[in-house]
Amino acid sequence: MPEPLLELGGVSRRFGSLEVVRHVDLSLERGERRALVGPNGAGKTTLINLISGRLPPSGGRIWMRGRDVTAMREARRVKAGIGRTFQVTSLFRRLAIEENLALAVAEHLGVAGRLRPDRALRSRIDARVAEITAMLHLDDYVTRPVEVLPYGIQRMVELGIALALEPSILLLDEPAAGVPRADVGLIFEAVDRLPKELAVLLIEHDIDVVFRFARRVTVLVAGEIYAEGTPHEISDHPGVRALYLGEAPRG
Amino acid sequence: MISTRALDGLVLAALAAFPMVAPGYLDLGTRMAILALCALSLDLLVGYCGLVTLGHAAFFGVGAYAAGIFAVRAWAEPLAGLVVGGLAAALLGLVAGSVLLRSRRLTLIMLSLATVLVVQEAANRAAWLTGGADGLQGIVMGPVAGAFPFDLSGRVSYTYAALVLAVSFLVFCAVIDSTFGRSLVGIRENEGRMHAIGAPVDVRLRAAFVISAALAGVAGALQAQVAEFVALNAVGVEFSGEILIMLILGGAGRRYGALVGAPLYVFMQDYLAREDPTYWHLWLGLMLLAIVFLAPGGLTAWTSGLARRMRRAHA
Repeated sequence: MPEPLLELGGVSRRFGSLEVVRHVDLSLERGERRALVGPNGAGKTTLINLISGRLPPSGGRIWMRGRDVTAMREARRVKAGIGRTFQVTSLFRRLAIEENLALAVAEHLGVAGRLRPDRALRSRIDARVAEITAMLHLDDYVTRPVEVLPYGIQRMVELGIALALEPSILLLDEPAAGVPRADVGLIFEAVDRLPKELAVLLIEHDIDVVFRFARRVTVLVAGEIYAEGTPHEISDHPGVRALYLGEAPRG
Repeated sequence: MISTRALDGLVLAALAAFPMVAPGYLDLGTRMAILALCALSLDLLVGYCGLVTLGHAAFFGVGAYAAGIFAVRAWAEPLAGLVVGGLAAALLGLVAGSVLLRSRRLTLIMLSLATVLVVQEAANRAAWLTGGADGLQGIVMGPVAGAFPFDLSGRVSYTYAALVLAVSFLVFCAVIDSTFGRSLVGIRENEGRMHAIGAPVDVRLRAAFVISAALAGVAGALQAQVAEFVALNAVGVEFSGEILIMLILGGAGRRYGALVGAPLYVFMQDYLAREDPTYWHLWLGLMLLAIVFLAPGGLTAWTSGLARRMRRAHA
């Protein structure tokens, strides 16, 4: 069996006396489409923070392609191929869309530390930014500061920054959270068009979206993996129906 | 719209034209150039990294002392002195940066303040080297580049300071226009997000600290050379505050802010002190208040806002 792209072994995280994530085992293969669902407060975002390196785990280990990255810092993990979006939009609000993306592109190309202006380099960055804005249909807005744009567009920029890093694992934390209903489709259309070889872990409350997107679904309840399987298995799981699907789908 | 390049050229032209426009004010012009350089170096931290510090006089002062002591004890060549002053300050920037950058906001301000006090007290105690409270005396500078001795008219001093400022400004522009400079702005706008796009934030900020400190050190060295004296208050908290005021006056993070703010501050100070030697501090304070109220982002923010409105009115 090939080594999984990402593997979590018994990963836990406590805040004080509260254990938010408990002994989670999880693995992602190349090109996998995985959804992470669960009630509010189940520890989904914390789990993503642990994988991306934003938070250190209190226990357990994380491997990427067999390499232990548990102690690796967030910025290094990005270089290793983990990209993410944030549940609450985290952008460079006063900068234009193109500047937001250019920052990520420059980091990805490894040229962001260069001290001299370089026209050839700048046009290389701009070309890549143009590719991303075209892919996400953002061309009409590129020169506008992010903060004046509709929230749906801001969420697309959030996604664009993550894609600019050309990750092998993409962690999407409720990419359509807070977006008006009419624009939600645009975001999931973009998610559907993500490169095939990219492994995606998606947190999402909308069950229809989850079932359409995911090949496998992991259900997290109170920090523990409650169930894992194909969308079919999960929708037939009696406990999950009672615990999660019976609830209002949006928290 | 006027291009950035044209405005950069205008700045250099203004520096060159000053002696012709105001031949009687060369000493004042020299002071303006030196303080503009110091404010410019601070802008890299305050305006571009978003790190407010009150410790900038430490770098200026160390540069001044290093260049002064170098001239007294080793070599009186001014250009070599500039390099020594810049390097000494960069070294302090490297050390101070690695300590100070563990904190942000108020804690950073407090720590930077403490740095100035430590450096000032060190300079005070090491009187055998620095002259202590009497200041560093006995500096006799050689001619600039072996050809241009400092004269009483102040023409050489001004030209020298203006050239150093011009070169430093071009260095500053290169830095802020580079991908490195853009990433500093990214850190200022959203430090957490920079981590999440893989940026080594600490390394970037430390590098900015070193560059900023080096430029401030060069300004200090200039000051020591043209005055042939270093006073203990070159490393003072009060001076740190003044540099910050000059920058805010012109507009932080706006390319030309320091170049507008510092000369204006020096001019107001000089003018008011002559008009009203008793109460000039009061008038200076009132004028600063007025400017801050009328142009909250600094004068350069106000002028570019005005230009934008005029363009819109024309369109």
